[in-house]
Amino acid sequence: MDELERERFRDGRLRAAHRRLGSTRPVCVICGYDKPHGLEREHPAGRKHDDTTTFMCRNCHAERSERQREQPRGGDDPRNVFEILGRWLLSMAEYFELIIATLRRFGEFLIGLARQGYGSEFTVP
Amino acid sequence: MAQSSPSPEAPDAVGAPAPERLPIYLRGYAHQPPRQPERDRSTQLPPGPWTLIFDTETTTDAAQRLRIGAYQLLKHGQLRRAGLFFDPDAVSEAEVACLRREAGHRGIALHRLDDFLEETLFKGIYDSGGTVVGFNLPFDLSRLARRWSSARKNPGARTSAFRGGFSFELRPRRPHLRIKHVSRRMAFFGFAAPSKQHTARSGRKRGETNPIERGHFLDLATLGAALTGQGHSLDSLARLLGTAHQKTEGGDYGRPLDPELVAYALNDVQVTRECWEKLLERYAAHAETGKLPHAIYSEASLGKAYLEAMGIQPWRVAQPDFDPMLTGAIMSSYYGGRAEVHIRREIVRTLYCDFASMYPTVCTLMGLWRFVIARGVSHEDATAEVRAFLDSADVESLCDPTFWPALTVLVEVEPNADIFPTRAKYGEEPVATIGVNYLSSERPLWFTLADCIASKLLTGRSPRVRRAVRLAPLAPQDELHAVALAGDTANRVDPVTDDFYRRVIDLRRHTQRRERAERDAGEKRRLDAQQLALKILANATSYGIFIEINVDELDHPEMVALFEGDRQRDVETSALEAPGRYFHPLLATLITGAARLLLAVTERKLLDAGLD
Repeated sequence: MDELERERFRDGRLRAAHRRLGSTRPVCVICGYDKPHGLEREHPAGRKHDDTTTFMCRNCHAERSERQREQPRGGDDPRNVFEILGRWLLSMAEYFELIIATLRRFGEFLIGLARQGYGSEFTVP
Repeated sequence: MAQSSPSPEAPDAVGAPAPERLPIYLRGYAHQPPRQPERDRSTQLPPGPWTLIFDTETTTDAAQRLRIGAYQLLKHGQLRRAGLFFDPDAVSEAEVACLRREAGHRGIALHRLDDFLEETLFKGIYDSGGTVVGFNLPFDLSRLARRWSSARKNPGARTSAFRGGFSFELRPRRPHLRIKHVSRRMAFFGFAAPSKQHTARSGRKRGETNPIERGHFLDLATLGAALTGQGHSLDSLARLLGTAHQKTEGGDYGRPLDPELVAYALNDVQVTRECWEKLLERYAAHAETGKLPHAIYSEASLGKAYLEAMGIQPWRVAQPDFDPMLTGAIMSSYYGGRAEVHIRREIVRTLYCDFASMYPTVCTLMGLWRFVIARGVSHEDATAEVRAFLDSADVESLCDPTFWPALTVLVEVEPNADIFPTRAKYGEEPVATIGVNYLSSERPLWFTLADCIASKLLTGRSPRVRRAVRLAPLAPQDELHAVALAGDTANRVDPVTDDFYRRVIDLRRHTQRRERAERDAGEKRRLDAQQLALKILANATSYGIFIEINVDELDHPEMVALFEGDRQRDVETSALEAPGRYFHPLLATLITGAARLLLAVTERKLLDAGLD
């Protein structure tokens, strides 16, 4: 494979991933990861209850699926409006839990950088 | 179709020629109940970064078989590879040797056709969602095919844009390419669904289906015509755009391949690329519409893109419950533009007389922009008022601009030796055409008030009014927003406070004045392109899009409700008329009616001045 072929091959694989995700700019809603090969579509309210999807990286998706197990078992009518709204609210709570963990990690990371002397060249806007 | 019957003994038919009985044809309105749109399985992703620009050279016999092709492969607009390809079955050993020499000498690639298709077209463009660019693409793309068949619609689909088109097999185990030639300037392109499974097993288990890549195609013959307002050859387009390279003469194209013919093919691709770059530069002026140049099929596409950019909801969306019976009456009053020759095969002195921006002008005179941005249309009886109005109308009153907004009226008349537009098979003509002539009919017919006034100006009598309906715009739609026209922020138009048509015409005049006064050649060219863009925009939004009707061919006939005049009947048809996105027949009939009135005023003044 010469340089041009490799580039085209990679662009073809990238396009296939974008096609699968339905977007050319997908980003994990939890951690901000943006390489499409590692991203998946995630149904916030659960596939049975609502077709809406977001993007999530595989790690965050796995974490989120673990939390989803804590939700009540599905009822007889998965498309009941209250059931759907309830699933959305529970899912948002799980999302926020994961996002809070990300925010903590980002915050601690930045403070760690500051302790090493980074950031002094910037001013607070 | 309705029967017209002149009244030979009509007492008020003074001056009318001897009557002739002729069937006349009226436009109807086929009302279809709203349907759930069919699921579109195509990917909605924007084009990828790769572009293939190519051109083919063929045999000169009737088969026009591919001999060689030349191409440039670009990424983000930068040339990454140039090359030649050939069909081994159509060129001799000696010709292949010539190609090798030329390719080696120029440092470009050389491929057999199959390798070019697999490596460049499919792996380079199709797989990465790139764009294929050419001039007159239906011809060049079809030259690459191994086999062809009739394009089919997608399984389960009711209609298809490709019905009646071609399906080309380019490579085994690769999706077919479908092409539907719509007109000399326009064609639809798209890859069919791949035959192999394109959704991973894990996705299929979850009931997911990956969208289908249809490809992106940009035919410069189409975009060039839309952006310049006229059809072109590659030669004339390159000259108009002032590209660095110009098309050359290749001599006898059927002769054995030689370096000169190869150079000719490579130059054609270079000219195509430069035209592409220049057209994209011009199209950047319309970037605010958010429409990709691939989606511009005509000036009308551009007009619709601007209406969308202003957030204007189509009338049929804003007012889905409008009475279809009244739409039938509106449609029956619609007649296209007037084109007539009164004196033939006789040498006469002529005086050239032209109307500047006729359709945008009548739109402004009647205040039709208010209808375009409205939540809908209201209607009320205006019979008595219109009878009085008609009696008082004369040439002088038409010179007063305040007279024209009152013309948004449909009138049902009993034609009796009046002069009206009439659709009929005149003489031995096999198809119905429109003539403006004396008409009498036992059945009442709908016309615009403008047509009634035109008749009065030409016959001296008011047509007999049975009833009249005044149409008025409802309040403006919510969420309309301003746009900058033709890429200049100084050309901002607010759809709520501005009369769009007046503003575009004024801006064009202003730009023309600036262009004339400008000394700098570059700025002069930019201003010229801008005034042309404004002209195209004014024309594109002032008529055609309001009467756009597309015919959908069905496999099986369906029953539709046909409204014609104020009658309704159910008809079975396998050719459904689907209204275009901004279909608004009231505007179309008012515009053409008012344009005929302007011509009638001119005709009256000429006759009065003894210039007939």
